[in-house]
Amino acid sequence: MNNFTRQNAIVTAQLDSEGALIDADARLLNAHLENGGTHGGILALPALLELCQRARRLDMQLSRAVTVYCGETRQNIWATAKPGAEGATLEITGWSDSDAGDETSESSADAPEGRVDDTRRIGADGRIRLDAQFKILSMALGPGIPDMAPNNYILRTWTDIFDFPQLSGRFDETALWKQDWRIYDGQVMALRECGIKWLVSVVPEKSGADQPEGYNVYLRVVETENTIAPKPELLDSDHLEKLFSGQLGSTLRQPIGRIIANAQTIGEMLQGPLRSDYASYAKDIAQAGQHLLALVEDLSDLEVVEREGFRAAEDEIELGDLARRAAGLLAVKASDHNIRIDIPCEDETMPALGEFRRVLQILLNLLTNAIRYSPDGSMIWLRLERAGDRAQIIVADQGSGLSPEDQARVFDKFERLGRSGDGGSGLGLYISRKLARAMGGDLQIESAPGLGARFILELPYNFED
Amino acid sequence: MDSRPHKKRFPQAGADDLIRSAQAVSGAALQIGTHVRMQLYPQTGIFMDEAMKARIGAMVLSLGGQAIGLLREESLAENEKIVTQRSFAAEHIGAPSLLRYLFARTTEWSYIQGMEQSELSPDLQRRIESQDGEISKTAMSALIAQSRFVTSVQNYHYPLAELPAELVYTVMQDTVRYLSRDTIAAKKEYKKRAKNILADFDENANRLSGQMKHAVMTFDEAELGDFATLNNVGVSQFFAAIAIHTSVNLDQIYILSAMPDRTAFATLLRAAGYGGGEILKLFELLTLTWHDFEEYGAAQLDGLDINVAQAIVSAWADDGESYPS
Repeated sequence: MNNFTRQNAIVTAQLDSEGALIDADARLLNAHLENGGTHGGILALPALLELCQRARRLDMQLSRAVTVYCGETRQNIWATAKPGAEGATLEITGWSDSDAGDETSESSADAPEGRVDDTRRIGADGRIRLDAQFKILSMALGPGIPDMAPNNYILRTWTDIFDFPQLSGRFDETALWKQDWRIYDGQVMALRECGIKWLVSVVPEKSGADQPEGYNVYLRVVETENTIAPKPELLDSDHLEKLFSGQLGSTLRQPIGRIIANAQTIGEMLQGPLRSDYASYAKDIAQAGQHLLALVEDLSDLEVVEREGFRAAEDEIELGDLARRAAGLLAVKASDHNIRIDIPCEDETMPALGEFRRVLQILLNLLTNAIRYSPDGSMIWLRLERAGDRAQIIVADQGSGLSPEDQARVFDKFERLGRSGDGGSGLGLYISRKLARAMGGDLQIESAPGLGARFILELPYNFED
Repeated sequence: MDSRPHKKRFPQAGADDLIRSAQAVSGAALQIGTHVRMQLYPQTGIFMDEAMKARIGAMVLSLGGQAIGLLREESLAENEKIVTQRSFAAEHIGAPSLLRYLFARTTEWSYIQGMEQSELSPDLQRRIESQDGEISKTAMSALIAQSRFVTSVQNYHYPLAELPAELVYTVMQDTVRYLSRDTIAAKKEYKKRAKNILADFDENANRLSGQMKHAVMTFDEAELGDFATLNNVGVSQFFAAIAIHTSVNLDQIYILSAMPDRTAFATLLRAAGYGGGEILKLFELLTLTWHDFEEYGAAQLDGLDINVAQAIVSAWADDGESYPS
């Protein structure tokens, strides 16, 4: 009976203050990677991440039994999280080696679903458990929603209780429960005679059988009786961006970066002579890689700004300082084209409210475009103005300008205005305007063909400065 | 297993003595106990006799006294001590997380009291003698900690260091707030002391943590089925193993077991894989009565599909860890 089969060696890991895994023993690192984590990314084992965050919040050592998913197995482990100045340290015991066929690990076909289950559960407002025939076993619709008496829903088919407006008419509604669970996944669900709507996420439960034995349904409120509900954020925008860009950074940026570096090394013939046409191909590869990298950066930003509820911080910023910083960062690029950037003088200020790095990002985008589309030897101006309660920064160039039709389209997603091969993704201005609006401002254009373009970034003026 | 002679039952007969003892600690104890029920379980009608209420109230006072003692380096006059303890208890009457925890511990203690004071079970002996140093150490620690726990609760006391970290944190923060409300100048100093105390807190040394760690490290399917060795140590280990197996919070399991309608606890045990006959034997071992025994006999419990039981229990598991920070 007492087969002490657990591996009692201690597995350790180090997390930074954001929850990114900066050092780990092989077993934990493998579990992290198997769960979709990346080198240097946020720890992809939610239960352990939560433990570390709680230990840091309390500034106390916590020791708990934790369930984690490793590959195809679910395991109970013992974890101790120790908070530190820079992050937290994890110490884990009781971790069996699944490769060794440990009998104590619970290996089953539902492990991947269980992992998905774990991840979705974190952000859910409510939860419904269904049996294999879509009959309700238990239901918790979330805080603030009136309770229903259990005898009104227990073991009733859930489509008797809830409506699925988007599925209406697509199927025989009286037989909806007979359909595949996948038709419900990602649908909006409404409670009858009540104005509340949820986004539905269905996770089947399996234990080796082909057919699910039941379902976990996770609910996120998308609309309440009175208004569109501000959806509670699982992570704030900073965290999301870090998570996304961190994972993308490892999976895409790193290999692309290596491709570029190797191609440049070959193209520059740094490791020995090479046939000139091969060197030329390598330079093409490096250039294409840089283009791809820029696209990855833009897609990363796009992911962030398109998330519902995205908000930027409201820092007290000074637009004159930001203009001078942006110009300084692109000075070399401008001088390559013999373009001069006229910046506000040192004593010129324009206090505003917005997120420092976001505003800098917008200015860098506007300036990069201005340099890209201005003739060599021309001038770009950065000007500060105030219009009532708005602080403005204007980027003006001597490029070819835009027609009214093009001005109407220039902020659209993936809009290139017929240009190609210039390294742009068609996302920069779209993202910039989204960012400006998230900060309570706007981004507009004034232009005419042959007369250059003026991009006006508006932000709330900081009256308290 | 089911033929143990002279099983000691929960000392209902001595309830009056317990109440009198608790009143000696503080006249507020009974009042606190009433609040425990009103604050926490108004719908469930959970079973809690007057002795249990008194014991929980006394443990709140005990915790307050310890927190005050740790934060105030100079000793307090006896009168002042009683006043501050009672004030602390009054502040915590409405703190469901603390009362919930203490209710679970009192329930656990009541089961232990109902067990035979037998010699060490063969199971525990094997663990202590294990060649694996960690297993042996954990088993020995569990034995010592269990003894300390039984004595503490018996004496209307609960060690602050045995609380989960979140509750220690809450108690210390509240005590700092209480102590410094009349002496704002001292607040900084109290906060500093509390910070040092919390930094030294080691949840790994906690009795329940030890049991859960032990369950994680030694648990397997066969072991869960073996409740023949339930004794005054084994009952806590058994519940810890159930918690690991079902992923339901340990306190939640004790609270479910204390509900007068045993259906919830029976469902939990069914979800853990027990058959109807085994569940009823467990009830007997734990001296739990189930008035609807005939109605819900073993056959009825067997008829409850394990998957359905697991699905229902899984919903309870979500409400598990509920210690606020």
